[in-house]
Amino acid sequence: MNSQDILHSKNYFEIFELSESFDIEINELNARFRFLQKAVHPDQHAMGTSKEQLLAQQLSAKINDGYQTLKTPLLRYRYLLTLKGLEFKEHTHKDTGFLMLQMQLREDLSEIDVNDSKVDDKIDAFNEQLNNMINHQTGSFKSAYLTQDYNSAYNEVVKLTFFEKLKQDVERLEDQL
Amino acid sequence: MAYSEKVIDHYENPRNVGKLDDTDQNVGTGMVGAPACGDVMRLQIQVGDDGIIQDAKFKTYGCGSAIASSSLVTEWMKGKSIDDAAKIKNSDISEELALPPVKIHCSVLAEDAIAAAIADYKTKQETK
Repeated sequence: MNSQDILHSKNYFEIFELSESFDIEINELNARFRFLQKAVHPDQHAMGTSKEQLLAQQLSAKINDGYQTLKTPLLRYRYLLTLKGLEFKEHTHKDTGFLMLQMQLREDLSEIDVNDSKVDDKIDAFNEQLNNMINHQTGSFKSAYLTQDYNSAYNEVVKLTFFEKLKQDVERLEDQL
Repeated sequence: MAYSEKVIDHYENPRNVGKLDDTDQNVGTGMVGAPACGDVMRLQIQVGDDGIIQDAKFKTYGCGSAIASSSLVTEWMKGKSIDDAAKIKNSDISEELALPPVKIHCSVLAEDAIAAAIADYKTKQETK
Protein backbone atom coordinates (compact mmCIF):
# COMPACT_ATOMS: atom_id res chain seq x y z
CA MET A 1 0.00 0.00 0.00
CA ASN A 2 1.32 3.40 -0.91
CA SER A 3 0.34 6.55 0.92
CA GLN A 4 -2.55 7.33 -1.45
CA ASP A 5 -3.96 3.83 -0.92
CA ILE A 6 -3.78 4.28 2.84
CA LEU A 7 -5.44 7.66 2.67
CA HIS A 8 -8.31 6.35 0.56
CA SER A 9 -8.69 2.94 2.13
CA LYS A 10 -11.82 2.62 4.20
CA ASN A 11 -10.63 -0.48 5.98
CA TYR A 12 -8.11 -0.41 8.85
CA PHE A 13 -7.52 -4.16 8.54
CA GLU A 14 -6.28 -3.59 4.99
CA ILE A 15 -4.04 -0.73 6.06
CA PHE A 16 -2.46 -2.94 8.70
CA GLU A 17 -2.40 -5.98 6.40
CA LEU A 18 -4.42 -8.07 8.82
CA SER A 19 -7.27 -10.39 8.00
CA GLU A 20 -10.66 -9.02 8.97
CA SER A 21 -11.40 -10.89 12.17
CA PHE A 22 -12.22 -10.36 15.84
CA ASP A 23 -8.90 -11.91 16.86
CA ILE A 24 -5.70 -10.38 15.58
CA GLU A 25 -2.01 -10.88 16.21
CA ILE A 26 -1.15 -7.91 18.40
CA ASN A 27 2.56 -8.33 17.58
CA GLU A 28 1.83 -8.01 13.89
CA LEU A 29 -0.32 -4.97 14.50
CA ASN A 30 2.41 -3.33 16.58
CA ALA A 31 5.13 -4.08 14.06
CA ARG A 32 3.09 -2.81 11.15
CA PHE A 33 2.14 0.29 13.14
CA ARG A 34 5.76 1.14 13.84
CA PHE A 35 6.66 0.65 10.19
CA LEU A 36 3.82 2.83 8.91
CA GLN A 37 4.42 5.47 11.54
CA LYS A 38 8.03 5.84 10.49
CA ALA A 39 7.14 5.88 6.80
CA VAL A 40 4.63 8.66 7.06
CA HIS A 41 5.97 10.62 10.01
CA PRO A 42 5.42 14.35 9.30
CA ASP A 43 9.05 15.05 10.24
CA GLN A 44 10.13 12.99 7.23
CA HIS A 45 8.46 15.62 5.12
CA ALA A 46 9.72 18.64 7.01
CA MET A 47 11.52 19.78 3.87
CA GLY A 48 8.64 18.90 1.58
CA THR A 49 5.98 21.15 0.17
CA SER A 50 3.12 22.18 2.40
CA LYS A 51 0.93 19.79 0.41
CA GLU A 52 3.25 16.90 1.23
CA GLN A 53 3.31 17.91 4.86
CA LEU A 54 -0.46 18.03 5.00
CA LEU A 55 -0.70 14.60 3.42
CA ALA A 56 1.77 13.25 5.95
CA GLN A 57 -0.29 14.66 8.80
CA GLN A 58 -3.50 13.17 7.44
CA LEU A 59 -1.85 9.79 6.98
CA SER A 60 -0.37 9.89 10.43
CA ALA A 61 -3.75 10.70 11.97
CA LYS A 62 -5.45 7.89 10.08
CA ILE A 63 -2.80 5.36 11.04
CA ASN A 64 -3.03 6.36 14.70
CA ASP A 65 -6.78 6.14 14.61
CA GLY A 66 -6.65 2.74 12.96
CA TYR A 67 -4.11 1.47 15.44
CA GLN A 68 -6.21 2.51 18.46
CA THR A 69 -9.31 0.99 16.89
CA LEU A 70 -7.73 -2.38 16.13
CA LYS A 71 -5.68 -2.60 19.32
CA THR A 72 -8.58 -2.43 21.78
CA PRO A 73 -10.81 -5.52 21.56
CA LEU A 74 -14.12 -3.77 22.18
CA LEU A 75 -13.35 -1.04 19.65
CA ARG A 76 -12.22 -3.71 17.18
CA TYR A 77 -15.48 -5.62 17.58
CA ARG A 78 -17.50 -2.47 17.05
CA TYR A 79 -15.39 -1.61 14.03
CA LEU A 80 -15.96 -5.07 12.52
CA LEU A 81 -19.69 -4.48 12.74
CA THR A 82 -19.50 -1.00 11.23
CA LEU A 83 -17.70 -2.64 8.29
CA LYS A 84 -20.80 -4.83 7.99
CA GLY A 85 -22.91 -1.70 7.73
CA LEU A 86 -24.11 -1.43 11.32
CA GLU A 87 -24.14 1.95 12.92
CA PHE A 88 -23.68 2.31 16.68
CA LYS A 89 -26.41 4.50 18.08
CA GLU A 90 -27.07 5.80 21.55
CA HIS A 91 -30.38 3.99 21.90
CA THR A 92 -31.22 3.29 25.51
CA HIS A 93 -30.66 -0.32 26.45
CA LYS A 94 -33.77 -1.82 28.05
CA ASP A 95 -32.97 -5.48 28.67
CA THR A 96 -34.18 -5.50 32.28
CA GLY A 97 -32.66 -8.84 33.28
CA PHE A 98 -29.26 -7.89 31.95
CA LEU A 99 -29.38 -4.43 33.53
CA MET A 100 -30.38 -5.89 36.90
CA LEU A 101 -27.27 -8.04 36.76
CA GLN A 102 -25.20 -4.97 35.90
CA MET A 103 -26.75 -3.05 38.78
CA GLN A 104 -26.06 -5.95 41.16
CA LEU A 105 -22.42 -6.15 40.07
CA ARG A 106 -21.99 -2.42 40.60
CA GLU A 107 -23.57 -2.69 44.04
CA ASP A 108 -21.27 -5.60 44.92
CA LEU A 109 -18.27 -3.59 43.82
CA SER A 110 -19.36 -0.50 45.74
CA GLU A 111 -19.53 -2.60 48.90
CA ILE A 112 -15.85 -3.45 48.70
CA ASP A 113 -14.15 -1.23 51.25
CA VAL A 114 -10.57 -0.19 50.45
CA ASN A 115 -9.77 -0.19 54.18
CA ASP A 116 -10.91 -3.78 54.60
CA SER A 117 -7.98 -6.07 55.51
CA LYS A 118 -9.22 -8.58 52.93
CA VAL A 119 -9.73 -6.02 50.18
CA ASP A 120 -7.24 -7.73 47.82
CA ASP A 121 -9.01 -11.08 48.08
CA LYS A 122 -12.36 -9.44 47.54
CA ILE A 123 -11.20 -7.61 44.45
CA ASP A 124 -9.59 -10.77 43.10
CA ALA A 125 -12.81 -12.71 43.60
CA PHE A 126 -14.79 -9.94 41.94
CA ASN A 127 -12.38 -9.79 39.01
CA GLU A 128 -12.55 -13.53 38.52
CA GLN A 129 -16.32 -13.42 38.38
CA LEU A 130 -16.25 -10.41 36.06
CA ASN A 131 -13.67 -11.92 33.71
CA ASN A 132 -15.71 -15.12 33.42
CA MET A 133 -18.74 -13.07 32.45
CA ILE A 134 -16.73 -11.02 29.96
CA ASN A 135 -15.32 -14.18 28.38
CA HIS A 136 -18.80 -15.61 28.10
CA GLN A 137 -20.14 -12.39 26.63
CA THR A 138 -17.25 -12.17 24.18
CA GLY A 139 -17.99 -15.76 23.15
CA SER A 140 -21.62 -14.85 22.44
CA PHE A 141 -20.48 -11.98 20.25
CA LYS A 142 -18.02 -14.15 18.33
CA SER A 143 -20.50 -16.92 17.60
CA ALA A 144 -23.12 -14.42 16.43
CA TYR A 145 -20.52 -12.77 14.21
CA LEU A 146 -19.38 -16.09 12.77
CA THR A 147 -22.94 -17.07 11.88
CA GLN A 148 -23.22 -13.64 10.22
CA ASP A 149 -26.05 -12.69 12.54
CA TYR A 150 -24.75 -9.15 12.80
CA ASN A 151 -27.77 -7.71 14.57
CA SER A 152 -27.34 -10.18 17.42
CA ALA A 153 -23.60 -9.54 17.38
CA TYR A 154 -24.38 -5.84 17.77
CA ASN A 155 -26.46 -6.51 20.90
CA GLU A 156 -23.71 -8.67 22.36
CA VAL A 157 -21.16 -5.89 21.80
CA VAL A 158 -23.48 -3.39 23.49
CA LYS A 159 -23.63 -5.70 26.51
CA LEU A 160 -19.84 -5.94 26.50
CA THR A 161 -19.71 -2.14 26.83
CA PHE A 162 -21.43 -2.37 30.21
CA PHE A 163 -18.94 -5.00 31.39
CA GLU A 164 -16.09 -2.86 30.09
CA LYS A 165 -17.31 0.08 32.19
CA LEU A 166 -17.34 -2.16 35.23
CA LYS A 167 -13.78 -3.20 34.50
CA GLN A 168 -12.75 0.46 34.49
CA ASP A 169 -14.53 0.92 37.83
CA VAL A 170 -12.52 -1.97 39.30
CA GLU A 171 -9.29 -0.44 38.01
CA ARG A 172 -10.20 2.86 39.61
CA LEU A 173 -10.78 1.08 42.91
CA GLU A 174 -7.43 -0.71 42.61
CA ASP A 175 -5.74 2.64 42.07
CA GLN A 176 -6.95 3.71 45.50
CA LEU A 177 -5.14 0.84 47.23
CA MET B 1 -16.06 20.08 31.05
CA ALA B 2 -17.67 22.11 33.79
CA TYR B 3 -20.83 20.90 35.44
CA SER B 4 -23.58 23.41 36.18
CA GLU B 5 -24.31 24.30 39.80
CA LYS B 6 -27.56 22.37 39.69
CA VAL B 7 -25.81 19.22 38.49
CA ILE B 8 -23.23 19.53 41.25
CA ASP B 9 -25.97 20.07 43.82
CA HIS B 10 -27.82 16.90 42.77
CA TYR B 11 -24.57 15.00 42.49
CA GLU B 12 -23.43 15.97 45.97
CA ASN B 13 -26.87 15.76 47.59
CA PRO B 14 -28.80 13.27 45.51
CA ARG B 15 -32.52 13.20 46.34
CA ASN B 16 -34.41 9.98 46.85
CA VAL B 17 -31.61 7.48 46.43
CA GLY B 18 -32.73 3.99 47.30
CA LYS B 19 -34.98 1.12 46.55
CA LEU B 20 -38.69 0.42 46.72
CA ASP B 21 -40.16 -3.05 47.19
CA ASP B 22 -40.33 -4.42 43.67
CA THR B 23 -42.77 -7.17 44.72
CA ASP B 24 -45.34 -4.51 45.67
CA GLN B 25 -48.11 -4.32 43.05
CA ASN B 26 -48.12 -0.55 43.31
CA VAL B 27 -44.41 -0.18 42.58
CA GLY B 28 -43.16 0.22 39.02
CA THR B 29 -39.48 -0.32 38.24
CA GLY B 30 -37.67 1.03 35.21
CA MET B 31 -34.20 -0.26 34.35
CA VAL B 32 -32.29 1.48 31.58
CA GLY B 33 -28.70 1.64 30.42
CA ALA B 34 -26.67 3.85 28.10
CA PRO B 35 -24.71 1.72 25.62
CA ALA B 36 -22.31 4.54 24.77
CA CYS B 37 -20.92 4.97 28.27
CA GLY B 38 -22.15 1.92 30.23
CA ASP B 39 -24.21 3.94 32.72
CA VAL B 40 -27.00 2.04 34.47
CA MET B 41 -30.11 3.64 35.97
CA ARG B 42 -32.92 2.23 38.10
CA LEU B 43 -36.00 4.39 38.66
CA GLN B 44 -38.91 3.26 40.82
CA ILE B 45 -42.30 4.78 41.51
CA GLN B 46 -44.92 3.96 44.12
CA VAL B 47 -48.39 4.85 42.91
CA GLY B 48 -51.45 5.40 45.09
CA ASP B 49 -54.93 4.12 44.28
CA ASP B 50 -55.72 7.58 42.96
CA GLY B 51 -53.02 7.24 40.31
CA ILE B 52 -50.78 9.79 42.00
CA ILE B 53 -47.09 9.02 42.46
CA GLN B 54 -46.51 8.95 46.22
CA ASP B 55 -42.85 8.06 46.22
CA ALA B 56 -39.98 7.79 43.77
CA LYS B 57 -36.51 6.37 44.26
CA PHE B 58 -33.51 5.96 42.04
CA LYS B 59 -30.10 4.37 41.90
CA THR B 60 -27.72 5.37 39.15
CA TYR B 61 -24.20 4.20 38.42
CA GLY B 62 -22.83 6.74 36.02
CA CYS B 63 -21.54 10.24 35.49
CA GLY B 64 -22.66 13.34 37.39
CA SER B 65 -25.15 14.31 34.70
CA ALA B 66 -26.82 10.90 34.78
CA ILE B 67 -27.08 10.99 38.58
CA ALA B 68 -28.42 14.57 38.54
CA SER B 69 -30.95 13.75 35.79
CA SER B 70 -32.39 10.81 37.72
CA SER B 71 -32.31 12.66 41.05
CA LEU B 72 -34.18 15.58 39.50
CA VAL B 73 -36.92 13.44 37.96
CA THR B 74 -37.65 11.69 41.28
CA GLU B 75 -38.35 15.16 42.72
CA TRP B 76 -40.50 16.13 39.77
CA MET B 77 -42.51 12.92 39.69
CA LYS B 78 -43.63 12.92 43.32
CA GLY B 79 -47.18 14.21 43.62
CA LYS B 80 -47.81 13.96 39.88
CA SER B 81 -50.27 11.60 38.22
CA ILE B 82 -48.58 8.92 36.13
CA ASP B 83 -50.00 10.55 33.01
CA ASP B 84 -48.40 13.88 33.90
CA ALA B 85 -45.13 12.22 34.89
CA ALA B 86 -45.07 10.55 31.47
CA LYS B 87 -45.03 14.01 29.92
CA ILE B 88 -41.64 14.90 31.42
CA LYS B 89 -39.31 15.28 28.47
CA ASN B 90 -35.57 15.02 28.24
CA SER B 91 -35.47 18.64 27.06
CA ASP B 92 -37.11 19.73 30.36
CA ILE B 93 -34.38 17.89 32.28
CA SER B 94 -31.45 19.10 30.19
CA GLU B 95 -32.75 22.65 30.34
CA GLU B 96 -33.21 22.61 34.13
CA LEU B 97 -29.72 21.16 34.64
CA ALA B 98 -28.08 23.17 31.85
CA LEU B 99 -26.59 20.01 30.37
CA PRO B 100 -24.02 20.49 27.59
CA PRO B 101 -24.75 18.75 24.23
CA VAL B 102 -22.45 15.80 25.02
CA LYS B 103 -24.52 15.04 28.13
CA ILE B 104 -27.98 15.28 26.57
CA HIS B 105 -28.08 11.47 26.37
CA CYS B 106 -28.13 11.40 30.21
CA SER B 107 -31.45 13.25 30.19
CA VAL B 108 -32.74 10.94 27.46
CA LEU B 109 -31.83 8.04 29.71
CA ALA B 110 -33.86 9.56 32.57
CA GLU B 111 -36.86 10.12 30.29
CA ASP B 112 -36.66 6.51 29.13
CA ALA B 113 -36.43 5.38 32.76
CA ILE B 114 -39.68 7.21 33.58
CA ALA B 115 -41.42 5.50 30.65
CA ALA B 116 -40.02 2.10 31.69
CA ALA B 117 -41.14 2.53 35.32
CA ILE B 118 -44.66 3.57 34.28
CA ALA B 119 -44.89 0.71 31.78
CA ASP B 120 -43.83 -1.75 34.49
CA TYR B 121 -46.42 -0.33 36.89
CA LYS B 122 -49.18 -0.59 34.27
CA THR B 123 -48.25 -4.18 33.42
CA LYS B 124 -48.44 -5.07 37.10
CA GLN B 125 -51.86 -3.44 37.40
CA GLU B 126 -53.19 -5.40 34.44
CA THR B 127 -52.07 -8.72 35.86
CA LYS B 128 -53.36 -7.87 39.33
